[in-house]
Order: sequence, then C-alpha cells, then structure tokens
Amino acid sequence: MTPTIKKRLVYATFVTPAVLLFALIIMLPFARAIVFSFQDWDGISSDIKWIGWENYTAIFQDTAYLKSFGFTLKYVAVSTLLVNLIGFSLAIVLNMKLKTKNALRTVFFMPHVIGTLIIGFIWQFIISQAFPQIAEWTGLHIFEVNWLSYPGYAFWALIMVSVWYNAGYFMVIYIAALQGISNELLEAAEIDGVNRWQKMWHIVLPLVRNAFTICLFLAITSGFKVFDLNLALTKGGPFGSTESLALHIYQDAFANNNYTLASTKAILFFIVLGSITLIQVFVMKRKEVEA
Amino acid sequence: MRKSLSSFTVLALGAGLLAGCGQGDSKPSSNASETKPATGDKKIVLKLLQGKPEIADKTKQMLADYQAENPNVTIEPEITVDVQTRLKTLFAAGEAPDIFFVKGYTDMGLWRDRLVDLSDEPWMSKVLPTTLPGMTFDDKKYGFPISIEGYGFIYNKDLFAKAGIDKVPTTITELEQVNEKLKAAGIVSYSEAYKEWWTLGQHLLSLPFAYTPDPAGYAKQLNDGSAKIKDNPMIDGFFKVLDMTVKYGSGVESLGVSYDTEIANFATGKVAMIQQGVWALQPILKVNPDVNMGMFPIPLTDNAEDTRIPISVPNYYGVNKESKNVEEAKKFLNWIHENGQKYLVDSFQFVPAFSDLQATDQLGPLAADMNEYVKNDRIIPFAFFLWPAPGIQTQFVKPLQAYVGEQLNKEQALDEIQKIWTGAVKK
Amino acid sequence: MKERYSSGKLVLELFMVVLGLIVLVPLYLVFINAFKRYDEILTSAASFPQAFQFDNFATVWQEMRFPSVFGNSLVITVFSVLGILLFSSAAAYQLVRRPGKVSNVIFLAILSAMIIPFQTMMIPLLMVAKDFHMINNLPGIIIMYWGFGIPLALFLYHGFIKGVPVELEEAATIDGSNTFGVYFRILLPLLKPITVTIAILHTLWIWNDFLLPYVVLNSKAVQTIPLASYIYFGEYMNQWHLALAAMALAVVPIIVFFLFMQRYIIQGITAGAVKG
Repeated sequence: MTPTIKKRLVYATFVTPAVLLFALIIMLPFARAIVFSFQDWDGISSDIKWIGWENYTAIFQDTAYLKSFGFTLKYVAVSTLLVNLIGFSLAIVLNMKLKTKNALRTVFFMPHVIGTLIIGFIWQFIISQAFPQIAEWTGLHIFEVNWLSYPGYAFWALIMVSVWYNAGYFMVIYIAALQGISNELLEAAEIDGVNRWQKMWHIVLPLVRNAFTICLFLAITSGFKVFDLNLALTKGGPFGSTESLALHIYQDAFANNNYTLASTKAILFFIVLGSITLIQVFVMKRKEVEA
Repeated sequence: MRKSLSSFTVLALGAGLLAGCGQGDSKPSSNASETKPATGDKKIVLKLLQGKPEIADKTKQMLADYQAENPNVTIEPEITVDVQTRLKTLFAAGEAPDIFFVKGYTDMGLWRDRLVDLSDEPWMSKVLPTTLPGMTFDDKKYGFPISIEGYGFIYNKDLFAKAGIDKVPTTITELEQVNEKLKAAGIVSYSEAYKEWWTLGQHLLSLPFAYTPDPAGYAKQLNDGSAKIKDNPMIDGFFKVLDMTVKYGSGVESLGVSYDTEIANFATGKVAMIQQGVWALQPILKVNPDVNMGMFPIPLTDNAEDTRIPISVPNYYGVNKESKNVEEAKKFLNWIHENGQKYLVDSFQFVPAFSDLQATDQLGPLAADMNEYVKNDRIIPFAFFLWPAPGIQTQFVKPLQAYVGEQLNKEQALDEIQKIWTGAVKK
Repeated sequence: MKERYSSGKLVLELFMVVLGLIVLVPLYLVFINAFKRYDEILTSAASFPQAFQFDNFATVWQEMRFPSVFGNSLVITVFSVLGILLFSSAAAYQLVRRPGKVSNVIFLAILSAMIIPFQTMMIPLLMVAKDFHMINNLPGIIIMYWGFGIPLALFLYHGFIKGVPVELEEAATIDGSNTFGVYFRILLPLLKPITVTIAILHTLWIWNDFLLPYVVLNSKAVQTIPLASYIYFGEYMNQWHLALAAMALAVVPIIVFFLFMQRYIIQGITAGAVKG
C-alpha cells in the first residue's frame, strides 16, 4: 500500500460515518422534499402528479403563508433582540462578585433544561388558570385579560416565554466570553479614568463580539424554527395571528392535505433562512476582523 | 430475547398474511375467521387509532375485556386529538393502524381506496339509515358507525329557573330574550371556546349550511360556483347568534377560552349556556356531577318550525385494506356490535347508531333532549362533513375569530371564507 | 485581591435575587398544582394546596408507564449522544487536519443542514426510514439522532480543533503512534471541554425532543417521556390535576440531572462556547 492510498483510507475511515449518516438522514429526505415541491399530492392517495413550478407560483398568492412569514420575521426580530439583551445584561451582573452569583446562574439557566413542548403547556396553564387569581390579589389589569385572546398579548406571551426559556442559556455563553477578558485590562482602563459606559463600549463589547456572532446565529435559527412552543401555547391563534412558519407548514401538510404545497413553502423557508444567516455571519465575521 | 421474540412475531404475521389472502380471494370472508379456531394460537397485534379523548379510559377498559376473551389478540390503542395528522405520518412510515377513525362524506371519500369494503358484515344490516350516506361510495359501505351525535346549546336548568325562564327558546328572538333575562338576573350567558377551531369554525359555522333545504346539493352548488356563501339566507341568523355568544359571553376574550375552560365554567355554574354536544356530558360531570342540564337546538330564524337539531355519525371505524389482520379487525368490530349495549351505550354513553341497540335513560339529559327531536324527525345533518376538504374547518375559523376579535367585519369574514372554499375546490 | 462590597452592590444583589425568584414562579406553580384536587385548581390555581394529593402522581405514574418511558428516553439519549460525539469528533479531526477541497465541501454541506427546518423533510424522512426499517425501534431513532446531531457537533468540534496546536500530534506520530492512536490518546483528552459542551447541548435536545419521536415511535413499548406526556395531555386535556402531575414528572428527571451536573454544565458551555 502506498502512503497516499493509506492516508486516503485513514481519512475515509474517519470521515465516512459522519458523511453517510448525514446523507442518509438529511440529504436523501431533503432531496425528496425538493422533488415533492414540483409535484401534487394530498398525502393520502397513491396518485402523485408532476406539476412543474405551479406550487412555487401558488405560494406567493397564499395570504396565510405570507402572514405567517410576517409573524415569524417579527417574532425572530423581537426575540433575538430581547434574549440577547437580557442574556447579556444578566451575564454582566453575574460576572461581578455577588454572593449569590453561582446560585443565580443556576436559577436563570434552569428553564432551559425543560423541553419547549412542556414549557408551552406550563405557560398555557399559568396564563389561563393562575393569572386570574393573581389579578384578584394584585388588582393589576395586565393579569385580568386573557393573554391568548388578543393578537398583541398572544405575541408578547410567546416572546415572554421565549425570553424566560432562552435568556439563561445566552447568559452562560456571554459569561464565558466575559471571563475571557483579563482583569488587568479592565483595571488599567479604570486607572486611566475611563467611565463605566466607555469601558463597556470600547473595551468589553469588541472583545465579546465573537460571542455575539454565535448568539445571534443561534437566536435567529431557533427563532425561525419555533414550533413546539407555538403548538403548545397559542396553536397559532387568535385568528392565525401567531402562526409560525414551521407550524403553518405542518398544518398545511397534515390538516389541509396540501402536502406538496407545504414542501414548497418549506423549501422557500430554507432559502430565506439560509440567506439571512449567511449574511448575518458574514457581516459579523468581517466586523470581528476589523475590530 | 427481544430479537428472537420479534422474529417469531414476524413469522406469525407472515403466516397470518398468507391466510388472510387466501380467505380474501374466496369472497364470503366475514365469518371465515370465526369458523376457524386455529387462529387462537397466533399472537396478533391490532393497532387502533381514534379520537374522542373523552372516552379514553372506557375505550381501554373495553379493549382489556376483549383481550381477556381473546388472549391471542393484543390491541394497541392510540387516542389522539389529531387523527388526521397521525394517519398521514403513520401511513408514510408504513406503520398504519389496522382500525382507525374516518369521518363521513368527504373524508371517507379520500380514504376509501385504503379501506376494506364492510358491506357484507353481519352488523351492516342493523345500522340506522341516517348513517349510510356518509360511508357509501359506489354501493360499497366502508364504515362502522360508532354513534350518533347532536349538538346545540347546553343550558343550566337551575340558572334558567333563577332568571325566570320557563321554556327553552325556539326562535332567534326568544334566544335574545333569554339572554336579556339572564343578564337582568346577573348571570353570564356564555363562555364560548372560540380558541378551538371546531367549536366556531366547524359546529357553529355548519348551521347555515345544514339549514338549507338540501345541504348536499348546496355544497355541490358552492363547489361549481353557482352559489355564493354570502347569499345563504341563513347567514344573517348565524351572525346574530355568534354576536350574542360574544356579547352575552366573554366578549373578545372568548378567543382565549379553550374547551376545558369552557367546560369548567359551565360545570361550576359560572355561565348558563355553552354551544356543545352530547360528547360534553362526561367532561361536565367529571367537574361537577350535580349539574342540572339540558340541550336545545340553535335557532337561526324567527320561525319556530325551522329549528332543528344537527345530528350525524361523528366517526366511523374503518379497516385498513393493507392490514395483515383484516379478519381479526372485522371480528373485533363485530364483537363491539354484539356487545354494543354494554360498551357503546352503557359505558361510552353514546347514542347508538344501530337499530338493535337501545338508547337508555342512562345516556343522560343531553341525549334525552336530542332524542326528542330525532323522534319527531326534526333533524339536520352535520353539514361540515360535506365541505370540500376535511381540514378546511381549521382555516374557516381564522376569519371568524378575526370577526370576533373585531379585526374583520361580516362581509370581509364571509369573503375570506368564500376564498378558502373556492381555493380548496380548485385543488 | 478583594473587591469591595458596596451598598450599590447590595441593592443589585437583592434585585437579582427577586428576579431569580420570579423566574422560578412558573415551576413552583406547576409543582403545587400537581398536588391539588381538580376543583381546587379551578378556583385557586395560585394558592398553596389545602392538602397534598399524592394520588395524582400515582395515577400518572401508572398510566404513563413512567419507568418504561423513562428507560426509553435514557437509552435513546445516551446512545445518541455517544454516537454523535464519536462520529463528529472523528470527522472534524480529519477535516481540520487534512484541509482541501474535499474537506471544505463536506464541512459546508453538513453545516448547511443546521438551517433546514425539520418539517420540510418529515414525510420523506419517514419514507427513507421505512425502507431501512428504522421506524418504531430504538436503534432506528438513535441512528436518526446521529444524523441530525452531527452538524452542530461537527461545527463545534471543527472550531475547537482548529485551536488545538498540531505539534502534540506530530510528536506522537514521531513516537510511532498511528492516526487512530493519536486520535484516541492525544486528541480526545484535549477535546474534553468541548465534548462536555456538546454532550450537554445534545442531551438537553434529545431528552426533550418531541416531534421526531412523535412521528417515528408509534408503539407504546418505545415511547419517550415527552411523547408519553403529549399523548397523555391529549387524552386528559380537561383534567389539569393529572396533566400537571404528568408535567411535573416529565420535568423532574432533567432538573435533577441539571442540579447534579450544573457545575459541569455551566463550566462546560462556558469553556466550549467562546472557542466555537
């Protein structure tokens, strides 16, 4: 055996299992989904027809799809912003020398260990059963209304739960980044008479930029794919105002028997999400280099 | 251990399949398995997929009894709220259940290629005539009707008495008067679960369609475009009733009320009425066994003669054509019918869909009130079974919810519904 | 060097403690209501229970067949995570150390899978899984988790290994180790921090995952905890006392795991995250 062949063989041994699994579990089904997007099938009958680009032209007239796209974009924007802002703030505070900091880190991270489906059910229970009694005790109007009845409230209910669930996770990543900043640097800055905000803006933020790139990527992709929480908490209601793309596609495929149309919608979803994350990572990576 | 067991099962199933094919070819197959006690030794697993979580416990009890009588059979039930979704994934996964819930008319039409023709089953001659149109295609009959259901306004008799109401309303004006009287007595009329697609987008919206003289013909006209929903003479009545349930109920917040909250509010006497059907009996009694209640049909006009109760078979059991145990599945259905009085009627408290089963007082006040109308032939069908796609209700509910939430007016809501209908037909 | 503990810090600390308590309120509500009778939940969901009903738990324990579904969840999670760690670290190792066109294409292709919405390929996946007999058995779903878990794990390992100096490996090679020896004896120990991170993230995901088990595990014998609880809610939707006991049971194991492991979890994510 020549050295190159042996080298290649070793390379193949290491890489092949991952590639095979990826091909079998992800590529093959995904390719089939692309094929489905050019076909017409209700998900039940044994009759599958080719219809070319018809599905692709049809989805642009599908108001419910466009509406759920709109909702998802809004949800991603708001949740990404809040989860990162709050996660970062928590990280800043819990990176200080507080007596309870370890216990608090544990507490804030705790919601993240529970599954999102169960979390949706938990909050559905709290909003529908516990809020009325809390309203009686506190007299606060905000607990009197049924949050799941109004599109505005239902939207914020989803955001609130998403922040409750995710903020601790992002906090931990930011704490990690903050711990990478040497104390000497910060102390030196303090001696130079730099104030707290300047310190934050000019020293801390540039140094945790890498963590921002990761956190934004995670928040955007998970926000776009929100499904379990949506299903268990609002079911997309009221009147479809909180229907996420993933839920919309799922229901179109299974409740409405539009299986192939739903595949098309999912392909477009993939293209949009791919473009957004590519741009995000690209832009932020460039900034990292500049900084 | 596990492995050897499963290969044994595979062998057994294979043998069962061969036997099944042989019988299938020689036509009069329905009783073949009963005359062959040899099947007694084979381990058989039947998978059952159905809705109706309300009777989950009792269904499991029935299956346990069947398995006790037939030790070689194991029935694995899955009782879910989304039968539609499950069926599709299970069929795609090659794990299709042997017996599953199918709804009448449109849904049955979509699934019938995958269903066994049950026309020659012994119980088929006993089904009530009203159950036949929903399951008959090309003279073949595909379903085992599990029950007859009806719905209307369920009301709390004590609260009605307290408000000085001595007679249930039979016209839309009388309904308004009842609501005013309740209001005067400080009683909230409704807590409608408009969070659920089926209360609003299916049962209530079905009424203006069901009240037309020929619902099936009307659905055809809507399909070919010769009729428009907004011209339906009953639509005004529908919106009047919808407005009342909101105005004398939780207002816009009805959109956040789920089925369980609605049931709890009614059972604990917080509200006087809910739009539900006979299936709500058990859930209500579970919360409060002492509710004094009844049910009346929902009027959409001012002519008391018009007012009728919607009744239909909510679900049929269908048998999967590709099942390896078609004969066992048929045998099981036959057994349910033979023991129908015990299980379907006494245990599930279903209003029977078979002429040889007796509705009893045990079925409770809702079924009793419903049966009064059935006896006098004052009935209309569940028109939503005639709608062009089985999942279309989940779309219809959105514009209606938007109407309740004051986002759309009546014309806009009707426009949206028409669009959804037309879109579904085009497919 | 001790930092001073000013009064400002005390206020901040108190504020954070209050915030921490608020974060715990939802879990508190689940647990107290899981002990109530049904009618008590309807009238006073936010109050402390008048009497503790352990019956709720006994019923749910039996109905959900808790020991069996717990065992399934455990087996699936453990074997899925082990496989993901092995296959992705091995692949990442060679992809980093043998750069080139092939490695790049493989890396980018696998990476792009991170943004595919699962719903897109749900039905086609079932069709593939059916052909390979991966439906309704534990090995089948474990293999699927290997496939779905590899992209993120590979991404994180790839980033980490790039930061590991190659000299150590070269030294070992000179000492006569072959590639496998280097991988197992030199590299894997060095990868420990990121391995802990990946193991934790994937454990949380797989333990809690709902949709994949929902579509590929149909028979009772193979159900997982989230699946059994979802089916249970479906059947008992208007019986909050049972539904809540089921939620509490579903949540307890993972919280206990977290509390035991929290030091490693928070440290692990901390160690792994920045490098990635």
